[in-house]
Amino acid sequence: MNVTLAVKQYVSKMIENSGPGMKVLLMDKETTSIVSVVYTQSEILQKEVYLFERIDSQSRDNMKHLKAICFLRPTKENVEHLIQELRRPKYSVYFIYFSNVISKSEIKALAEADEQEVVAEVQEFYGDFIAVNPHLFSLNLQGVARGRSWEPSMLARCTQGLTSVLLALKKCPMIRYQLSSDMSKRLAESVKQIITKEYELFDFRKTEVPPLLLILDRSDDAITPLLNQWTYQAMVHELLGLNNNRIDLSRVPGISKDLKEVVLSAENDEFYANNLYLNFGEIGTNIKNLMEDFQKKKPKEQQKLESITDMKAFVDNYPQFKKMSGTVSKHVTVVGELSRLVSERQLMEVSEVEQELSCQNDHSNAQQSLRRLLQSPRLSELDAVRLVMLYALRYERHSSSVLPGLMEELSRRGVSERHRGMVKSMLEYGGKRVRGSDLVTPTDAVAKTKQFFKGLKGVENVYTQHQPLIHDTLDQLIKGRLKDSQFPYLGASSLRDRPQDIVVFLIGGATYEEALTVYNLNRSTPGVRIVLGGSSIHNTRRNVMCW
Amino acid sequence: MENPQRRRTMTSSPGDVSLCLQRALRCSCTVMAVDITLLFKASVKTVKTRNKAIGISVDSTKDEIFKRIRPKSGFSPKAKEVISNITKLKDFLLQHRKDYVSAGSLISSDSTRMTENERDQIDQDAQIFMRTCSEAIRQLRNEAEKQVTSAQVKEHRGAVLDLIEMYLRGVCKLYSEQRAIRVKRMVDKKRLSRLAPEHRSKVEKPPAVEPKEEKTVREESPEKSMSEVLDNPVSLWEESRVEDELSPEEIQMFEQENQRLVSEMNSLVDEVRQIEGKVVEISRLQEIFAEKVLQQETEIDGIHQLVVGATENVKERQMRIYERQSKTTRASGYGSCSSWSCALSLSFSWTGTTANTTSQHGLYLTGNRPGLAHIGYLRER
Repeated sequence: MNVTLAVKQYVSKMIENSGPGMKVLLMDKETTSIVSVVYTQSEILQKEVYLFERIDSQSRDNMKHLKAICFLRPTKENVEHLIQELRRPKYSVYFIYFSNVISKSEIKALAEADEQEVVAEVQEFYGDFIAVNPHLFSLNLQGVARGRSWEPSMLARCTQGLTSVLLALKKCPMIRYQLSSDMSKRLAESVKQIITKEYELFDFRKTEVPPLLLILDRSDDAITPLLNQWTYQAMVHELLGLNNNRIDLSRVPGISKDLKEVVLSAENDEFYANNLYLNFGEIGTNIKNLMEDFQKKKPKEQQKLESITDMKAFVDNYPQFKKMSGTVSKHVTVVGELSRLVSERQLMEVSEVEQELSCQNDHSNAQQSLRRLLQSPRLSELDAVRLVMLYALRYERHSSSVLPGLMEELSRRGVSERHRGMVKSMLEYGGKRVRGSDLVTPTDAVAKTKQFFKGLKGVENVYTQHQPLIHDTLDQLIKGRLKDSQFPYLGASSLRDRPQDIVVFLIGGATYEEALTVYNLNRSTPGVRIVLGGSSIHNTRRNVMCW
Repeated sequence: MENPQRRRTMTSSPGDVSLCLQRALRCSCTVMAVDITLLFKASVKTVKTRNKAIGISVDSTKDEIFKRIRPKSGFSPKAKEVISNITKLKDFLLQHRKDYVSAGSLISSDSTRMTENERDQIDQDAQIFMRTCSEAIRQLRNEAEKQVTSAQVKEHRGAVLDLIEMYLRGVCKLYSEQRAIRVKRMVDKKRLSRLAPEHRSKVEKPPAVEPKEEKTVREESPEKSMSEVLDNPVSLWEESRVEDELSPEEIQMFEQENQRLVSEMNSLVDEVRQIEGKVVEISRLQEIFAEKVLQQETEIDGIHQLVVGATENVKERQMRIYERQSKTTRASGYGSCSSWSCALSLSFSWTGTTANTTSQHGLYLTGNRPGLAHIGYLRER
């Protein structure tokens, strides 16, 4: 169950279907992201796609010697643009691929527009999501909810995205949703509706154990997005912002021009692929090793350039060399920037307090360290707000909650009204009232014992002690012990055996930490494959802005 | 409008609007995809047929790399049409040329032979066609002159029309050649079918015609008719038709000649009859002659037998007499001598008669008569 592979196969098939000849790829805003995440430009260029255009850009030239491959979402605007394009075709042949199910009436409208019969093929390729990692996808949607209910267009988009994932992975699943969340119920129902409506599409080979779709709500675990992360991918996203596998480094001081925007893609970058889920310390070591490797290679090449054969060998190896040097410089820059930010914002200490707040149960200690930290001048506004939010979430109902005091502190520090207001709204969002499960205080005996032992033992790594809620949920699910009362099935049937293929969707967005959890689970339980997705991938800033 | 490199996957009828979605449940490769090309193409075709029915013309405003210049207000298409028509006529003429020109021999089957009616029909149609074509060319020329265009275009159009005219003339020539051959053949046929040569009203002829004069006239008129044929086939054809009506002189003359010929014929017939009778007689006599010869042959055979027999008898008698004589010489010599001389004289007279008869018949006898040779031998003895 590899979502990147699925999307990549779709794009490859699209390009192959059109046969030999020069091609242009016409996309819309969203499909551009979808394609750019799985395919690098050089790879696509190799397949004779020499031009990439947006369907809504008006200033395209007539190029009748090109074949056009259109990969579009089946939205009204896209259909409009396509109609205009077909009336005055700029390219010789059109191969149209919609990323989701398109209605008959729209096809008829397109057919009416195709006066000159330039369309060769119309197909539906279900790649309507952004495949970030092989087990992680996102829909890049902001503002999914309005209050506690769906924004209607977002509901449709989420449904479409989720169904396309299911079709791409060829799964016709049973659906379980989170009872406490109305939004998840609605999403589950709409997905079920689509499955029933397009039952022909979902007519896949039945496996012994049917796959499972689990719909969760972000509000159940509001803590995870607020935490600082220390694994490479998550950290980069948290501190720098990973947008469709791209990092914007333009604001970094002293950055060179070609590193202003950097692509971090696990497909093409071996180093990155190896270090995605390693924590910061390990990354440092690995980077050092990489540098040493590179340095070893470098002088050797430059030394003996006397004979022609040497020169030939050098030129042959130069692309490899260049690639390696590019990789090295990229990672060095990124890691350098990360460490700069870490030291600048005292993220070590902040993270310690965060973890304490989220995992430990010691109020007074927590309060003390929090206050201490808030005094520190180097603390950024965002971190301050974040810490207070965590405190609020954790010790909301605590008897000696000092939340109002903390709020005062915030205002004293000069935190804007807006941010302070966010604390309140966050409480509304993820507060105890709302949460289905109790986030931090364990409910059953087993969890209590676990926590007790953890407290005794101490943790290996202070910074990574937090486990997102999803870990427990999935663990229970795999063992077949997920409570029906909390996570009911939609529909009459239920899984008798333990599930093997699970697709998890977090309304409101997933995080890289959760992706890491899923990755680890995938590795540790070999019979089970889990794919995680969310309406977006959060970092703190985005999360905070979201509220 | 169609792009030749496009793959056509359309199989259903164009009017089938209610074509249900044909969705591939699983394609051959590993991705899940649905091909709705068929539905799309069906819709395109529906739209097209609907537009055609309503009469909406498709605005082909496509910008092509090579811009196609529209033909100038229909001059080119009209000219092209005229050319195509002339080509059609030419093809038609060439196609039927063989049949048209064939002499119509009796051996050929009915299917390939063209009747005169058909030939006339072809002639008529071809003429009408050629007239209309030349009319069209003239019209085009007028139009071209009237239209205000650049000098070059005028020149071009004039040249185009000239070329078309030349082409038309060539085709007309084909036609007229064919026609000439046909007419000539008909004229020859007609000429040969007459018993007397044709006359023109100018040539005067006395009613009493001598064969010599006829001959000369005959020589003249063929020459004339030949030259007429060469010059003006059409008019001669018409004239020869007119000359079917003969002047009264000629009628009389023809009558007289008829009479003479009849009498000649009769005399010939009589002579022939006579000769016939004679021949019959000769044959009869021949028969009798043959009979007689056969009779004589049998008679000769009989006589020959007799002679042979007689010779034998005589020989025998002689032997006996000789024996008796020898016996009786001892008794008396006179009696035997006398009998011997009697016998001798008897034998001589007998052979004499034989010789007479032989000489009498010698005229009719051939040399190979062994019986008589035997007698001759006897005589020598």
